[in-house]
Amino acid sequence: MSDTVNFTNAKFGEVTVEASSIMTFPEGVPGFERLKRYGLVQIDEEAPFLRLLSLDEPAVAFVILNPMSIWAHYDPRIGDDDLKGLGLKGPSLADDEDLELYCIVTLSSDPKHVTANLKGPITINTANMTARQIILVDDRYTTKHSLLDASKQKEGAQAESR
Amino acid sequence: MLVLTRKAGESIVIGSEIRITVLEMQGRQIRLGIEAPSEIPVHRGEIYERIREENEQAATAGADELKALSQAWKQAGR
Repeated sequence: MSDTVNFTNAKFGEVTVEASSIMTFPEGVPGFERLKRYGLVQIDEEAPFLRLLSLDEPAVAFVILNPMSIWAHYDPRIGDDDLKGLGLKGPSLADDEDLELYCIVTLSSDPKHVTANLKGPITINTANMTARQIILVDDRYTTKHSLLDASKQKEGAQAESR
Repeated sequence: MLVLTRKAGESIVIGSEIRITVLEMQGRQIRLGIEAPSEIPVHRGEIYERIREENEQAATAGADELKALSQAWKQAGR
């Protein structure tokens, strides 16, 4: 039997998460430095999107996504200090099976205007559930990549390759 | 704000673990070397601000918007 934790989020209501899906951001994330603990909620109908909900502040809720599911060639260079801050060794992403990578989605009332932040990916060391928002020094990525456009381009690319 | 004047090769120490050294000056640019523990992230100010603004916009995620996105996603055949 696994432990669960209950809390309330202003937008998503009563939430129950597995204790093992609670992560700690020791430095918080920029703009929310005080908030350290977040719970990850996966709901089948919402796939590939996940909810990342603050346990410390009911008003704060993020939606995140595995960027590789859309941008297959996404290649964030994560520095040694960031890996060390997470308690990982590196040197490359592939070497750390405990590392999970997500990006934050900025929702909009119009799904066409939904964007993903590839400039500041969320990294989680699942071995100790420590997380950090990495800020990339990489001009290929911005804080606003259109989501539905990217998914169309991906389909187009697949169609061409058939 | 504390204002200090430094020459190339000189440094500033913050607490016992952070050291910022002026490496060189070229015209309008100054190269700084920063030594800090790995648990203290160091960022360029303007990029940090952009991430902070994006986080603040994203943090108000709501159930209705997520539902609309999930439906649009499925309709797009994903």
